[in-house]
Amino acid sequence: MRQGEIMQLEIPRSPEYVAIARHAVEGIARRMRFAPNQIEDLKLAVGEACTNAVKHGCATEDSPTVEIKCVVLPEGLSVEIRNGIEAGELPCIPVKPDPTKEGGFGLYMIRQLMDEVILNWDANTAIIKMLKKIGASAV
Amino acid sequence: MEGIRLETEVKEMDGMQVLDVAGEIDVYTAPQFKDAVNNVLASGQKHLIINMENVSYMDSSGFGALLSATKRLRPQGGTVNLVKCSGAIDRILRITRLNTVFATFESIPEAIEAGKNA
Repeated sequence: MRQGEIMQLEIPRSPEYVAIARHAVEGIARRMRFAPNQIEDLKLAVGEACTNAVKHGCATEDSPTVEIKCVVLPEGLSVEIRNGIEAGELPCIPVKPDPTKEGGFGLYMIRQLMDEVILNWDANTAIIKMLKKIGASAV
Repeated sequence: MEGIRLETEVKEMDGMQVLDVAGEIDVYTAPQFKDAVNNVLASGQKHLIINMENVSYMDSSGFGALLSATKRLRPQGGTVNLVKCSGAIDRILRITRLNTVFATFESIPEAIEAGKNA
């Protein structure tokens, strides 16, 4: 795979498609020769981000689906996930997980597993942009 | 996409029910996983033992189901015991500190023994 190449996938905002997205990213990461534990990190981070999109997102005119965009970079793989939302506050990434609560692990896990994470919430679109570096490990 | 399916089966071992799970636990399959867990809890067994050997992926949806089971079992002194987790799942348990909530074991007999002695 060459630097700068872009792969895009669009999935319906429905739980059964989340696995398709994470397996697609897994395939890209394998081709890029990420280490096995880094591939697991990518799968989990993409799975969590898509799960959030499916659970908390909604179809808007601009973003009726969940869009996954992967870019091959010199340092690794960038994955951007975009979905429609109703106007709301930008969620915070928890500093540490609370094992007594049933939810709230997704963003924390993404932050721990990826090397860079940027959240961008505007009026009706949520974007999470993540970078996994080849050869580096976030945890 | 065979691995995306989830299969669950309850086996009786040494007088205890052991939940065998195979496949991937995510937002789509978590309701099925939760139903299987609830069926074991409905039998009145105090300690939940889950054979994770054939679970290739589990995300926060699966952890949520296990935390829900923990909440039900704790008041009666019960525990959630995971057997033969993959390296990836084991790592996530440590990252999320859920290894302080769920017990992990290398074999089913060890988990059964711990349950009987708890």
